[in-house]
Amino acid sequence: MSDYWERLDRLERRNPRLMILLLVVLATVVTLLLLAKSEGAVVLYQAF
Amino acid sequence: MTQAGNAAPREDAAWYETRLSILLIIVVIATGLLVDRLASSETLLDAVTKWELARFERGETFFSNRGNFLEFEDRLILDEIPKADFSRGGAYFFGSSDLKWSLKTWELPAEVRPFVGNFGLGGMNHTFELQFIRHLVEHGGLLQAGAERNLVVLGVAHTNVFVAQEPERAYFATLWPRHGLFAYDAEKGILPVEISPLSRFLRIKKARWSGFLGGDVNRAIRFAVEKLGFSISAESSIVDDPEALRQIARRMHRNWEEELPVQLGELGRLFDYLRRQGVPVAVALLPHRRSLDELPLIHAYGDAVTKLCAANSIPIVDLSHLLGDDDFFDLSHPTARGLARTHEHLIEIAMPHLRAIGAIGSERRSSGQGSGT
Repeated sequence: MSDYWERLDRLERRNPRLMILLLVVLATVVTLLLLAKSEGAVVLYQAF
Repeated sequence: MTQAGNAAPREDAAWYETRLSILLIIVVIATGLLVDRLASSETLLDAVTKWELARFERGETFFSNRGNFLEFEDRLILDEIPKADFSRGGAYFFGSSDLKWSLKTWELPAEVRPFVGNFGLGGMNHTFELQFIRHLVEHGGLLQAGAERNLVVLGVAHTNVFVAQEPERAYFATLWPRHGLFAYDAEKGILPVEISPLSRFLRIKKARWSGFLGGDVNRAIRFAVEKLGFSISAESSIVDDPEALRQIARRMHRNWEEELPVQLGELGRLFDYLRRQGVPVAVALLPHRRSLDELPLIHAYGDAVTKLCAANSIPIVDLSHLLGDDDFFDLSHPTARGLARTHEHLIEIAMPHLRAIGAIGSERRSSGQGSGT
């Protein structure tokens, strides 16, 4: 596991802007998923 | 290394992390604001609706009139009804999905649209219809203009009988509590939930956001699946096979002999309720596929409702054979061509009332280019 963290750390040092971009994308996707979450049964197309 | 030498990188790191945290907070807020903006954008809605309607006219898909929401019903409950102006009266259509998809309210002239409500909900029987109308009358201000300035048009069909099983698991029962704004009880019907104005505001916002995102993801998936040549509905592949359709309808009609008297009793209670309120009522027997004519429930229901209307002095318009089999998109919902005919005939029922309350000039035609959903 620590190996993965080290590789991630090296990647961040080599491409700091790429890591920030990935974080921004991740934050956007998670926000969209949270906003899209709905509750209850949904019937998109009733055949009757 | 000195303490001063260690402090500078630590301060740099702390400042870096602070900036990163602020950036992420900005991203979250900006994403929320963007979604909120798009979810309430009339321009985007008009463009998407125009695109969907064009595809519907070409027979490529079904137009469910759901606006920026996941479903027609969410749009109706969260947007159309709360915004409706009941202070001047109007004509309101109630029924199941075969009613809600039989009106082209978006084509009504803009000045007439506020007076016409397409209040059909999927999977309705007459028990649910009574609960819905009672909710609108007792909590929604439906009759605030005076009962006689309103017309209730009930679009009825054999489909109102076969959705009655397991009421607590019915679509209607699960629809209302969905966003935490209402509760539902099989006996008491729809119950408003006591929450603070802020909670109500946030729950409606959340419903709009999820409806917009879910609805557009759904649109995109449907478009992709249909473009790839797959059918969305299991029925789509058998719409030209009358016997296969009859088999589906027979399964839906199971226990109809037990359920029909129950639903007729509920329809009678609905008539009684509306009579006590003083609301004029009309009934339309909605079109069904002619290939279903031989099924016993079709005629048993039509005959019984006709007699019930006669006994209650309620006018009934029989549209049951208005459409041919090729005017249906699936078992019971019309194509664009079928919809044009059902809309014309259903609106015609409301025309004398709309003229009487001054919602429409005597020279105006029943439909024309307008705006709205």
